[in-house]
Amino acid sequence: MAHRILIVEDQPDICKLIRMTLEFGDFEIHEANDGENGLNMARAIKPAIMLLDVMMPGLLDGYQVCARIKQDPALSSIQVVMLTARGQASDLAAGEAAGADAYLVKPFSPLELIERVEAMVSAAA
Amino acid sequence: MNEAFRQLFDQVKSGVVWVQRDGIVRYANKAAVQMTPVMLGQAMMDPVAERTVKAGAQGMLKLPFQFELTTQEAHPDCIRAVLIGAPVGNDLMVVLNNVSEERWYSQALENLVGYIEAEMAKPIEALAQKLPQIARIVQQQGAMGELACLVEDASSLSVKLGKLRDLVSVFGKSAIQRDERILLSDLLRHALGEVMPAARARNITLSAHGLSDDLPAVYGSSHWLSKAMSEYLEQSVRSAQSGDLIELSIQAVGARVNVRARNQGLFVSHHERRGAFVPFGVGDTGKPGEARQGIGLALSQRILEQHGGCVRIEDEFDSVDFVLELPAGAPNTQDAQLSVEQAHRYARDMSELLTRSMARRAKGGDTAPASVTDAPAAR
Repeated sequence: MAHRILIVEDQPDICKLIRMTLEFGDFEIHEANDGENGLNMARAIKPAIMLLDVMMPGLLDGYQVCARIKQDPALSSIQVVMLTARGQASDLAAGEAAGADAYLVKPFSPLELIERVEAMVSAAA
Repeated sequence: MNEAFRQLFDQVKSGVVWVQRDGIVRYANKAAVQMTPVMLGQAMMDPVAERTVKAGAQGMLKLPFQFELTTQEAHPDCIRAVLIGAPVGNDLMVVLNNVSEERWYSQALENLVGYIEAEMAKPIEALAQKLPQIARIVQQQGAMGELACLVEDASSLSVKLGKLRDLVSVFGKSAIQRDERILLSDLLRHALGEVMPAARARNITLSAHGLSDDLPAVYGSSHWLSKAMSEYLEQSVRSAQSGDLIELSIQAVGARVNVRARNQGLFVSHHERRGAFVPFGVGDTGKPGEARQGIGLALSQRILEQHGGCVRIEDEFDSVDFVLELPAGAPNTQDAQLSVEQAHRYARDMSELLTRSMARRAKGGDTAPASVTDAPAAR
């Protein structure tokens, strides 16, 4: 069964590269371009994994979306991988505080991304 | 040239020389005479001006034609001249403006900004840091009267100098942009802490609604946005009358957030509205020695503009709102460099991704990753 993945990323180029990477695996891929849409889509499709950009314009950034996902019992099983260009200790701590399951610093290795995603879905299965 | 034109040109600040097509000067106003030598009934005495007029009259130049002259002085000023057709008839006109004079004023301001940045910024900072310590020593020694007053005055002066330094910094060349993540609620709480003493001293109540941690995050310089928020609140307190209530509220509108400080019953005149955004200004009717508004909203406005936001004063029927607006979330800019770097990483991993995919297919569509046994977080 193809696992459902939701990419929440405001930069179209990066979003496309993530999609191209995940297309090497067996995934059903969905996309959202900001935090609010991402949260609404997560409620609608209940993905297994959410690849979530941290810095996004709009009322909800990645940390806030992640915190809301993890606080909602109906969504908390979604595994969240934060994607960010900010790799400082304070950023990682903020991700941890929001309840993120993993953190990938941009530019990340697509190979690492797909292996991590596959490992997460395998562990959850 | 008729009398109406003469009266009109006598009133303007620019130099105006009216010349016939044969180059003979028919009229020159006072400003023109101060910039270039001219005599009625003769050609313009400056050879560049004379040649240009001649060329214009012969149809060799496309009008309006801009050229430069210099004043006939030991240290000549630069004059920007424009040759145009006269409003009536076939005559020509040369309009003159002293560029050096304009530059002198703008350069004086730039020099002042540079001087404050280079010579005063550090001493002001050092003074601000030392003053609390000095105040403690004075208090411990029980010093009263003149010394205590001196420390108080120095503290007040230090705050004003600090704002001047900040204003220079944000108008100067120093970049103030960062991509720090700042919670709006933290920003507002910090600013409230800063202005509360002034509000209490004037018996002004500040009430905050909707100040929860669920408010959007903003991205920028934490240091400068704190200052912008404090200045903004300080201005709304400064504008209030003793005993007033200022209601603070936060609204998210689209991808922007508005902080609104509403004062019921307050009236802000056009003069005050303009003055609030002009640093140190008292308007056209200001008198020497009159108390100044201080930095006003100018500092706040400049910082917010550099973060894609703004501050404004809005009138309602029975209230005045001071509104601070900021974009919610990260700046809406595409990081091209990051996209390129990510594409490089993708290209580098491409062959391995393909090999991996082909190996999977050969195995008969097994999707389970062979190399991964657990799900470690990438920390």
